[in-house]
Parts: sequence; C-alpha cells; structure tokens
Amino acid sequence: MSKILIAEDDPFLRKAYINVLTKEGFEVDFAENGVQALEKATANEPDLIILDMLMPQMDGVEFLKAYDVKNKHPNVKIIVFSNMSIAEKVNEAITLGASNYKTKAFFSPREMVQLIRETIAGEGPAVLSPNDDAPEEPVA
Amino acid sequence: MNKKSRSILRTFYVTFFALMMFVIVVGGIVSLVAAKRVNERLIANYNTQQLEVAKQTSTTLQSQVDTIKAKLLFIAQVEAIRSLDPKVCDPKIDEIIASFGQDIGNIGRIGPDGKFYCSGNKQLLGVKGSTLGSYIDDIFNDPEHKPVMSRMIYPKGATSYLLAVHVPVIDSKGKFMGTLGGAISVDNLAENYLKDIQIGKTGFVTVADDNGDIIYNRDNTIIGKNRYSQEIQALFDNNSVLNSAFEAAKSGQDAQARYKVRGEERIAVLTSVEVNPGRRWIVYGVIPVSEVDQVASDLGFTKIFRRLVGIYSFSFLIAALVLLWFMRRRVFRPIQRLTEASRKVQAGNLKTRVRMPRNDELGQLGMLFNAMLDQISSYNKDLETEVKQKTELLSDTLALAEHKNKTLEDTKKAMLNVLNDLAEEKDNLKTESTRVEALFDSIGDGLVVTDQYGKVVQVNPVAEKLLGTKATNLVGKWYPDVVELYDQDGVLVAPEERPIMKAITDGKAFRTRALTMAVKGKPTKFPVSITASPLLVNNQPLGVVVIFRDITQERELDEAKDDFVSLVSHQLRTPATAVKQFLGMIIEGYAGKVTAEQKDFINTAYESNERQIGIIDDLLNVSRLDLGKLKPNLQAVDITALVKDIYQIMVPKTAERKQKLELNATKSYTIQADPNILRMAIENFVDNASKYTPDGGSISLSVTNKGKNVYVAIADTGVGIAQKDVKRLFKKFSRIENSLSVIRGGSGLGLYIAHQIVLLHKGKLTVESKLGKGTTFTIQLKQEG
Repeated sequence: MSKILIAEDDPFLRKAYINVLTKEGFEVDFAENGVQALEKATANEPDLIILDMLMPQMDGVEFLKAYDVKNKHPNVKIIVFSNMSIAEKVNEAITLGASNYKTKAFFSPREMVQLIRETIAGEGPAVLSPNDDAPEEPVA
Repeated sequence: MNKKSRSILRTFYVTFFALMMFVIVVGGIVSLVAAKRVNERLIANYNTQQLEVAKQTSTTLQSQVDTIKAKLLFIAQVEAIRSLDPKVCDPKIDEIIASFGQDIGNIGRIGPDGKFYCSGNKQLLGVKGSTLGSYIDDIFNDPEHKPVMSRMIYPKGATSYLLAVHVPVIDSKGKFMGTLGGAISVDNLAENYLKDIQIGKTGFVTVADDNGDIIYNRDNTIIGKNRYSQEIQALFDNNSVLNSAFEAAKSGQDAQARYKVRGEERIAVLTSVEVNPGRRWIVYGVIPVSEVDQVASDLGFTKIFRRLVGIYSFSFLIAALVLLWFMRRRVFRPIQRLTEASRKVQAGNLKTRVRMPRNDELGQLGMLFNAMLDQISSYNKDLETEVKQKTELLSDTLALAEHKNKTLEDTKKAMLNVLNDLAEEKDNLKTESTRVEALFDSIGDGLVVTDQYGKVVQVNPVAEKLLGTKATNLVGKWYPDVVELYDQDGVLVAPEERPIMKAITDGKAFRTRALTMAVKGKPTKFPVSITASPLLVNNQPLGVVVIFRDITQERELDEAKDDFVSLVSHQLRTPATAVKQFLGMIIEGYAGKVTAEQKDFINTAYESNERQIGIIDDLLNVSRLDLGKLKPNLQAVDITALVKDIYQIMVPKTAERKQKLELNATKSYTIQADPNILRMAIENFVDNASKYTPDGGSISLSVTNKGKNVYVAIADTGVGIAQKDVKRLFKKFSRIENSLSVIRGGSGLGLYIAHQIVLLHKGKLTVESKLGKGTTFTIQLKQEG
C-alpha cells in the first residue's frame, strides 16, 4: 500500500483528495501548508507527495528547495498539482526534482488516481499535459 | 619576386629532367639485368640439351661396341674356331666370319702367348698384340678374359683409323687359347652414328678415348691426334678448364667447361661411356656461346625489352614535355601575367586587366583580380566624379555669387521700393511661423521630422526630453543612425525594418509598439509606441513625421493587468476544481449509487463547471497572447501526425454529439511549429465546428498541400456564418448569434486564440461559409525546406 502526502491549502480540495485516495486504498496523510508538509515528509517519508504551488507560509517552490528530493529523498515522487501553471514555475519545479507538473483543474478524480498510479510505477515522462495553459517553453 | 618565380620554373625543369634521366637509367639497368637472365636461362637449356645428346651418343657407341663384341664372342665360341690351332692362321677363320656378315673385317688371331698369328696386316704377324695399345693386354691380364676394344690404330695401307675388338677363345677344356679379333672403321662409326648428331645449329659432339686420342671430331684432320698433344693444346686460349673437365669425365662424372678455341668461346658438357671394363671414352657436347647469344637475340626477349624501355622512355619524355608545355601555358604563364599586371597596377595603371578565360583556380584568381581592379577603379571614378561635381558646384556658386552681386545693386533700389510692403508681409509670416512652432512644441508626444531620405530636419522639445539629447545633436543626421530601436528580445532592429524606413519605402503610415528606443550611446532606453507617416505633397514624398510616445506606464499597466488576470484566473480555478472533484467523485462512483435523475443533474452541473474552467483557461491564454508572452517554441513538426493525434482526442468529444468526425490526412508534411500551441489552435477549430454543428452532422479534418504550402482544413456541416459576421469572428468576446449559440455557449475567445496562434506561426487563415450549409476554416502553413 503506497503512502501519499497531500500538501494542499484549500480545505475543499484537500477533503476531495483525501476522500478519493483513501477509497482507492492509499495510505493518506495531508499538510495545510509547506512548513507542515516539510515536517511530515521528512519525519515519515511517503511514496508520493501531491504538492500545491500557492500555499501560505512556504510555497511549493520553497518546499522543493528545502526538501531536496533529488539528493535527500531519492525514493519520493512528487506531483505538482497546481492551478498556477506558468512556464517559469513548471521549469523550476521540474529542475528541483518534481516528477510531474499538472494543472489540477483539468483532472477528474479518476484521471488523478491514474496519474498517481503511473507516477508511482515510474511511468510517464516528466512533461506538461498538452492542455496546460502555459506551454511556452519545453521542459527537458 | 622575379627571381623567385624563375627559380620555381627552374626547379620544375630540373626536377622533370632528373626524373626522366632516372627513369631512363632504371629502364636500362632493368633491361640489362633481364637480358643477362634470359642468357643464363638459355645456357642452362643448352647445357641440358648438350648433356642429353652426349649421353645419347654414349649409349649409341656403347651399343655399337657391345654388338660387335657380342658378335665376335659368338663366333669365337663356334666349335670350328675353338678347335683350331691357335698358332696357325687357318683360312677357315675368314670363311667362318664371312658367313656371319660383312661388317667385321681385318680378322686377327692372337695366340695364348700374346703374339699375332693371323692378321690382314702382315707386319703384325709374330708381333705382341700389346703394340696395338695397352687395351689388348687387358684381356690377357683379366682372369675372366672379358672382350676388349683396342685403341685407334692406323695400319699401313688403311684408309681409316680402325678400332680392333678382341674376344677370348676358350677351347673345349675351358682353357684360354688367345683372342679372336676384328676391326671396325672409325670412319664407318663416324659416318653411321656420329656425323649427323647436332646440338642447336652449330653445336657438335667430340669423342676421345681415355688417353685423349680424338676418335671423332667434325674437323676430321684432328681425328687420331691426342688432345694433350702440343698441337691440340695450342688451339686453346685457356686449356686448363677443359682439361680438368676431361679428367673429371674420365673418372665417370659428368662435367662442364666454358673455354675458348681459336678465339671462339664455347661451352662443352662432357660425359663418358665405358667401352672396356674400366676404360672410358669421353663424349663432349659442344655449343659455341655465340649461338646462345644469337638465339637470345633472335628470341627477341632482350630486343623487345630494350625496345619497350626505349618506347617507354620516349613516351615519358613526350609526356613530360607535354606536361611541361601545359604547365608553362596553364600555370606559369598565367602567374607571370598576374605578376606583370600587378606590377602595372602598382605603377598606377588601374586600367590593367588580366585575360584568363578559364574555369580553374587561376581563372578565378584572374576574375577576382579583375573584379578587385574594377572595384578600385569604380571607387576612383566615384571619387573623381564627386570632386568634379563639387568643383562644378563651387564654380557655379562663385558665378552665381558674382551674378548676384551684380544684380544686387540693381535690385537694391527696387527693393527699397517694395521693402515697405515686405515688412508688412513679414509680420504676417512671423505670426504664422510662430503659430506652427507653438503647435510643434506643444504636441505632447515626441516628434521628429525627417527629409525623404530619413535625415533629421526638426525635433520637438518632448522628443528632446524623451531621447535625453539636444535637437542640435540630431538635426542633419540620418535618423536610424542616431536613434536606435530594439525589439522585445533586446535585438537591434535593422533600419529597413523600422517604421520610418517602411513609411518611406511604402509611402504609408506605419505603426508599432512594444519596442524599446534609445539615442545612440545613451544608456537609458524606454519602451515606445511609434507612428511614422510620410509627408506627401502632390503625392511626392517630402519627408516623414515620426511621432513616438513613452509607453513605460502603459506597459506597467499591462503587466499589472496580466498579473491581475493571471492571479484571478488561478484563484478562480481552485473553487472550480473543488466542484469538479466532488461532482466527479459522484459521477465516477466514489460516493455510491445515484438515481438517473440525480446523475443527469450532476452531469449538467459538471459540464457547466467544465465550461467555466474552459473560459478561465481561455482568459489566461488571451492575456498571454495580448502581452506577447505566448512565444512559439518552433521545431520540426509532422503536421499530419499532429492532426491525426488531435483527431484521436476529438473523436470521443464529437461522438457525444453524435457527430461524425472524418480524417483525410495521408501524406506527411514537415513544418516549423510549436506543437503544443498549434494543437490548441486546431483543437479550438474542431471544438468550434462541433459546437456549431447540429447533432448527427459531420466534421472533417484534412491535411493537403499545394507547392510549399500545407493546408489544414476543418470543415463542418453546421449552421454557417453570415458574410457580415465573418469579420467579427476573430474578435475577442465576439459571439455570433445563431440557433446553436445559446445552447452550446462559450467564452467567445476560442477562435480569437486560434487565429492569434496561426499568426504566431506566420500562417494564414481563411474562412468559407454558407449559412445553413457549413463552414470551412483553412490554415495555411509553410512547409519546411
């Protein structure tokens, strides 16, 4: 059973994610901001983190910098799931080690679950979905 | 320089001749060596032949001797002979022998005491047989009494040297009773067996016994003489070689010698035949070396080889000379010409040209040389013309000045008369001028006036202020030179791309914005909006008016707007996302079963929410497009593959409206595009087509080409667009009223975004539509390469 940490400040969305992922059989924990996410993800390393970009106290980019997934937590996968999907942010997040950067408004619950499963299995390249609103620059 | 070019030529000549000499010498050596080897081979062949002939001769002689010996031996064993008294020359002997044939003559009989009792040569009677040479003794000394052949004898009255053969006579009690002898003529032997033996053309055989007595030679004057005699030895230039070969042959070995006789060089191969037990005759096969040389020469190996070498050397010489001539003509002479021409040019004759009508490097060099001179001459000519013009102008001016001085006096008086009138007019003009100047100065935007070539004529104070420089620094200079313009990426805009030059060339007003302007050499740059309008009087361009405005504030406002739109959109997305999640959970069955009616309502709510998300998305894209932030990342794209992919994605969406989506794309075309952005545009068109096509209609997607152009067409069988509405189609938020617009809804941004994207790809968009029949959008793009 894979462990998932949801870092999402919007309580409604958080509730939705927890509900769906629990029903899908994942072990789910959550954080309301970046600081909390950093504490939890460091203390108890999850298999995957769903990370929002715009969060109080510590935003997604700051979290990625502090958590340093590439060097300190190589086994953890991170999907940035944000509605703030502009090219600079996407590039920065992918450079900092995020596996995926997706616009959450484009995902139904089941599509999200599928993305999570594929990411945990290591499938799918770390690229933007074609419908993202900021495909200004390629993410290599 | 002169010296050096000569030395190149000399080096070239020397190298060529040295090479030629080398080839000729090597050819000569090779031919000599080859000739020598041919000779050696021939001699070896001759030697083999000589030995064979000598051996054959030996065998012939042996068999002759053996035959006579056997015949006599047979006769000697006839009882009638055996029983005769050995010391009596019984005439019966002749009778008996005669009955055996004619070829043995000179019958002799030696008794057991070794004395002749019977002989054709009466002088021999009573004489010891050993006088015929020691060979006769052998038969007496041999306990087995084997038959022997005597040395050559020449009895008185004989016509030829003879060889006597003696065989033992054994009586009935087995006692040795002396010998029975017969003689054979050496002439006969020579005539029958030796005379016709040939080696090559001039070769021959010689036979001698082991004492050196010459039994046979083609020169019959030396037959019977001893080869060791002074007379014979004197014939040899160097006798030791043949002598030692003779001695070797005597001991039973085959031997060979090269020697000279009477000045003729010969090669002899010697072999031997055992005629008596332990006694050998020596047979020579002789060939004169001159014949070998002659044959070698006749065979022609050497000749042909020498001739070949001769031809080879000669052709090489010709080829070398041709090459030399060619080099002189094609290389050295052109270089000399160039050198001479350069020297002339250096001396000041610019009209000098080289004539090298050729296609090679030197021809090109000549062409370039001429072109260079043309250019220099034309510069000179221009300069001359200019000086001439200037001079003419000066003299004209001087003449004019003189003329003016003259007329000045005349007009002075007249002038005085009109001066009063003029003063009044001047006042009017001044008022007018002041008004224009005030107008000019009071314009709120930067204003620069140039002549029809772009040279600055006037600059207003706002322009001075914006550019941070005085008008005096600009007036009289070429505008694009002093005021620089940069594009969005900070790259200097080329003069011909600038509004001012476009206004001059096109004769139309030209406008641009979002560019950065700066005075050359000044660090401060500012974003501008520029309008350049040509000043036309009677359709003749007199100059250009450039009006520009600092749009720093506008841009800041735009950016603030963008930030606002971006932030609001993102924030708006979040609650919409939550709604999507919860409704999605119900639809996708995470919350258990719902009734059909509930499901219908929830689906409607979900769709409505999706539309909202779509509108927010469109707003974001429009904001980016308007601010020029959506830059296509161009790469090679297979447009057919992209359209096929879009087709796959759109099939389920159109299927929801029971529409048939068709695809007509087979051939691949590569274009330069940003696949992500272009996809958005095409999807928008398909989405639009689907929206305005009734349920059950059909939409087709096709990719075709004409020359270098590739066309992506999206055709539907929908409601169509009225001609008057087509223009509005691509405006922001424009929605055309029709039967379906109310039901399908939309942001009114989709086609605007799609159109902008097509423009970003330097493409063209055309619309064909008939109300009630359908619409076709065609995107025209350029094929790569």
